[in-house]
Amino acid sequence: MKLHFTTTHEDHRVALLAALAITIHIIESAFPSPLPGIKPGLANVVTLFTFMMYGWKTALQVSLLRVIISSLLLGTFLSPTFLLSLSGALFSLSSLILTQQLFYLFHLTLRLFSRHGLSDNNYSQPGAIGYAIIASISHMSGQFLMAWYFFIPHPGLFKLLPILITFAVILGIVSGIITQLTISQLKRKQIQKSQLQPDNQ
Amino acid sequence: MVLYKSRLEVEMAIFKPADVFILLSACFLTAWLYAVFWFDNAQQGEADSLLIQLADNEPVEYTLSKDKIITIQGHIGPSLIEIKQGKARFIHSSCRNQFCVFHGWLTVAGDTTACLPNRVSISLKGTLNDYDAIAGGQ
Amino acid sequence: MNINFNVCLLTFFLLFLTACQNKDPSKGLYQQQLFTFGTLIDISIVSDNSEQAKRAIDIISSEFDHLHTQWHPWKNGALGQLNKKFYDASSSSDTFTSPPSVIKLIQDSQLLSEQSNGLFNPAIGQLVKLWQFDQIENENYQFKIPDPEKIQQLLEKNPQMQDILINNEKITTNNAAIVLDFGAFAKGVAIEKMMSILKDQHIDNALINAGGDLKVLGSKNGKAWKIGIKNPAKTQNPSEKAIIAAIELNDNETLFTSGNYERFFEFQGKHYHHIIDPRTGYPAVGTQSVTVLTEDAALADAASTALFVAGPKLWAEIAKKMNVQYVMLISDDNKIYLTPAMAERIELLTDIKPVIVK
Repeated sequence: MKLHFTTTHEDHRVALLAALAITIHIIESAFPSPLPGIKPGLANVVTLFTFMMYGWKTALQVSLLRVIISSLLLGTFLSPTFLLSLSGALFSLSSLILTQQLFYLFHLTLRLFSRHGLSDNNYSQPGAIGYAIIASISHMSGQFLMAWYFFIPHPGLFKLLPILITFAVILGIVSGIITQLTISQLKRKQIQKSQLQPDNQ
Repeated sequence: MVLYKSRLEVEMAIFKPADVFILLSACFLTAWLYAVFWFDNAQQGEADSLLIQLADNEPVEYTLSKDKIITIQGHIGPSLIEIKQGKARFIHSSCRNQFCVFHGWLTVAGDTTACLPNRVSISLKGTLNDYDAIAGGQ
Repeated sequence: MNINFNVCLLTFFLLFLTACQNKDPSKGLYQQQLFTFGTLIDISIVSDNSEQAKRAIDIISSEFDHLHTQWHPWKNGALGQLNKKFYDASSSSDTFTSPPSVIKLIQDSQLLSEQSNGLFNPAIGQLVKLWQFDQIENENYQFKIPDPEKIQQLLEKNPQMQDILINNEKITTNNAAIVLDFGAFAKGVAIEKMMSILKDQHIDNALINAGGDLKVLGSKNGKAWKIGIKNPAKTQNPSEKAIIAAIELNDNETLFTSGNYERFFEFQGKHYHHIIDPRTGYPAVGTQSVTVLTEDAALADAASTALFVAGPKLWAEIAKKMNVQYVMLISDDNKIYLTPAMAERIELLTDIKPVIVK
């Protein structure tokens, strides 16, 4: 007996991106951290890229797959570490969506008041760097709040928060630049392709 | 001045206006976190004035930056209160058991002691992040 | 484009500023100190309505005065009169009456006394009287150690809360040595009462600190009430830190401390404090202070006394029996003992490593 799976192009894309994210996640888990379980979230680059290129639904699939599969591989499934990275991932993705919606709302408001220009939402939307900073800060604070609430409810823990957020901002900028360069490169190739084959649309 | 010529240029730009805004807000947030969780705690409980209250009267405020000795006429006699180097204490009171004197120096904002028979209380006040109360007797 | 970009930034900054301004406008804080209930009572009320705050403080003030007389073991109030009847009673068949507030006090403390294995024992009023701690504010009194034989006699009579029987508001006792002293209970019950008065006055955020024992309502403009706990070692050594630990209290929580430095006599170089061990008849040994956090001030008051008497060896067991989760005990040899729940909440400001007792 043979089982038949029909997989779409989208599924392949999700699988590819998730695999990439898992690789980064596992490499990252080898790094030491000031608070057990709290990680900088470099795998966020993949989530961010997916979010900006293919939308939040794909990004959600990729980041859930990343969290679940890498915790299975690392043997931390359903452990505190797993819960922390899950909450970090969900926190950062939901604030990405929120930011996008807020800026879209802002764009609509602006369009009401301007007679010319700004017809395209892309002008008022943040770029990868803005999104990456948001993602990184919310990833960090999501994990931090979970850690504080469930595992170490000690007020002294908050002394660490400013340092963690500083790192989050720096990492956000770095991963934002990486993402932006990747996206730019990809778009440039797409444009070159479409210029080479003008009939291909 | 024109910021961007084409849509392509917008998408290729490393920094967009909204990015600058987000980055500034992030820096602001970080600075604020440092202020709240580091700077504040360093000042925890530091007092800068002394309140002296006699019975149910309004308390009288003295600065802690000037050393002095204050005499208060209480219910049964005088109470002597000393301010020295940002601290305060009873040096004498007209009560028999002298608990207020035994209490020694008040050093943190929120700390209070009283000479109950003489109905005189002294407490320290700070401006930054005081304790709301001190537990464990006067 | 240029204009729009500027509009964009400007709008954001304006949004930002308004967001900052709307962030919880601080309500007024009304503070009042009262000399009543044999101690100094500090009341803090967070409210926008100063009339409301003042009214509440007035009601509390007169209520504390009233309860102080009513529940004082030797003054001419309800409890003092009952004690006098106990004292003068000729036979165990005598029945006494007392107002409902005193009856409730007796019934509640009977339960707590039983839970504490008798370490919290308000029935030893005669012992406390023997030590003359009620004379502490008397100008002409000279402290002396009571006659050991008298202490022994009272211990043999073994007055317990369970020796009091209440039937249809009629009080009888089969122990002639019973005299009630609610010194370790009345303050807790009174604070609970004051808190319900505040709630009746529609005050949701307040702190009452009665001589270092306190209870909070709500928060201070959205922030938990932050409490410093006095370092008992400072009484002997002025160079010690004044505050040994900090803790945040949430709505309805109460923090009670019993310390050997609160009321005491110095006599011939020795320190005699006011917490009498009902098993020995002498001031309890082994403990410098006990701090208890619960939601019921009456329980906290009784428990802090019982655990103080229990000492560093027995306290954890009694705390479990009394159903108290948050305890800190500082022993005579400056060790800090914590329950696991307390260890998670308290912020110690000392280098001493705490002993966590499960």
